[in-house]
Amino acid sequence: MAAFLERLGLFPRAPDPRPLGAIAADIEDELAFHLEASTRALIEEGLEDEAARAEALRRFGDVDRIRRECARTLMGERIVLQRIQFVLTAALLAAVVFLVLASRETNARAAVERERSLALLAQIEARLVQGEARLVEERRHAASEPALQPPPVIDRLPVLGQSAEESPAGAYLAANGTRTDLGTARESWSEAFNEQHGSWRHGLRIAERLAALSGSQGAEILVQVWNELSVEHREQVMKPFVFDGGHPHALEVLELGFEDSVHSVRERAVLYLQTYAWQDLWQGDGQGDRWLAQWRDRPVGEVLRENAERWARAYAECAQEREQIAGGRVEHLLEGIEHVRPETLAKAGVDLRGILVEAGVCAIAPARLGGLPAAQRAIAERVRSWCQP
Amino acid sequence: MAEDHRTEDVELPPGALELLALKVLARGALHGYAIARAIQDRGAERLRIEEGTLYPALHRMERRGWLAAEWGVSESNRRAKYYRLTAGGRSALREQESAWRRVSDAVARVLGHPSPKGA
Repeated sequence: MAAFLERLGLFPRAPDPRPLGAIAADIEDELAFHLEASTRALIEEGLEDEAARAEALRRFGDVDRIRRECARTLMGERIVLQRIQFVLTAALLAAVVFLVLASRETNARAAVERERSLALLAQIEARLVQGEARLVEERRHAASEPALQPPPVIDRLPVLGQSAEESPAGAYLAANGTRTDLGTARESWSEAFNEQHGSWRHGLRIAERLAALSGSQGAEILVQVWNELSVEHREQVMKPFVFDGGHPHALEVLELGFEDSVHSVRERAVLYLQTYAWQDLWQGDGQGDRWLAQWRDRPVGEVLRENAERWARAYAECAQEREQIAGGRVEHLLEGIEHVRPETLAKAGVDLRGILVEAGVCAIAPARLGGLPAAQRAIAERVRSWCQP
Repeated sequence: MAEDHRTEDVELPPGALELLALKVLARGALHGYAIARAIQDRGAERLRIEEGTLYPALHRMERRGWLAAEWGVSESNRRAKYYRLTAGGRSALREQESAWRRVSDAVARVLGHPSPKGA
C-alpha cells in the first residue's frame, strides 16, 4: 500500500518497512553516538568527564524532544499508514457485515417472494389441470351425447308383449346402443352406470340390460350397486324390473326404492308399487312397509292378481250400493290405481279383464260415472276400457 | 570559549540548517556529529544551533530523497549512520542556495546595506 501511495504522490518515498522498534533503536543509537562523540571531544579539550557529558547534553538540546521529532519524521508516515489501514480494514469489515446482512435480508425476502410465486403457480397449475380435465370430460360427453338423438321423448316405458327394441325406450336404446357384455361382476355394472351418472337415459339403458339378466342376478346386482348409483339412476333403474310384470324380483327392487333416503326416489317407488298393490301406499303412514312385508315373498303374478281382484270387488261393491258412483271411498279407490298399467298384469299372465268381469266392474253402467269429479271419472273410463275384449 | 560566543548567538532562520547540512554534505558522506562539527567549523559558531535539531532535519531530507543514509563504522570504531547527497539533494542544494542568496540580497537592500554580491 505504501508503494501505491508513493505512486499517487501522497508520500515522496515509501516509508521504512522495518519494524517500528528497529527504527526507534536506530534513532536512539544515532543520538547516543553524537553525545558520545561530543563528550569525547570535550574531554579531549580538557573538560572532566561529567562536565564534558553535561556540556555535550547542553549543546545537543532537549534529547527527549529531539527523539520525538526524529521518531515523528521517520515513523509518522508508518503510523499514519497504519491508521489508514485500520480505518480501511474497519470500513471494509463494516461493508462486508452490511453486505452479509443485506444479502440475508434480500435472500429472506426473495425466499418469501419465491414461496409466494410457487404457491401462485401451483394454484394456476391446479386450475389449469381442473380446466383441462373438465374440458376432456365435456369433450367425452360431447362425443357420446350427440349419438343420443333425437331428444329423448319417452312418454311410456316398454310395454308387455314387446321386446325392449319394440318399445319407445327400447327403440331409443337400440338406436343408440348400449353395453351388453357387462357379465355379473358388481364393479362392471357400477362402472357402467357411473360412466354418465347425471344422465337418466343412460341409467335406464343400463338398467334394461341389468333386468334382462337371467334369474335373480339382475336384482342381486342392483341391491349391491344401489348405494353407488346417482339419484337420477335410482329413479330409473326400478322401471325395467317393475313394469316387466313377470320379473320375479320386482317387489324387492321396489323395496329398495321404497327405503331410499331421497324423497324423489321414494316417490317413484310408491308410484310404481301402485301397479302391484292397486292402492296408494305412502311410506309415511307405514302402509307401504306393511304391504311389502306381507307380499314380498309371494310370486309376482299372484300379487298382481289378488290385489287387482280385491280392488275390483271393492269398486263393484261401491257401484252396487249407489245409483251414481260418488263419494270419498270410490274416489279413493280410483285414485289408488291412477298409475296402474294393465300391460304389467298381462306380462305376468294375469287376466285383468276376467277379474273385472267377474267382480262386476264391467257391468257398471256408464251413466253412473256422472257424479265423479273429472279426474276420477277419467280413471273410471280407463277402467271401463280395460273391459273391452 | 564556545560558551562565550553563544552569549551573542543569533537565531538560525527556518530552513537554514537544512541548507547548511546540504552544503557540508556536498563534499562527501558524513555522520551526524561530523556534519554538526563541519557547520561549526565553517563559522557558524556564533549561530545559536542546538546540535540535536540537526537530526530531525537530516531525517526529513532523507525522507524527501535529498539524502541517502547507511550505517557504517566511525573513526572511533563505533556504529554510526552516514549521510550522503543524492542527485535530488544536489539539485535541492542549488535551488536553496540560490533562493537564500536572493532573500539575503533583498533583505540587505531593504536594510540599506550593499549586498555581498554587489560589494
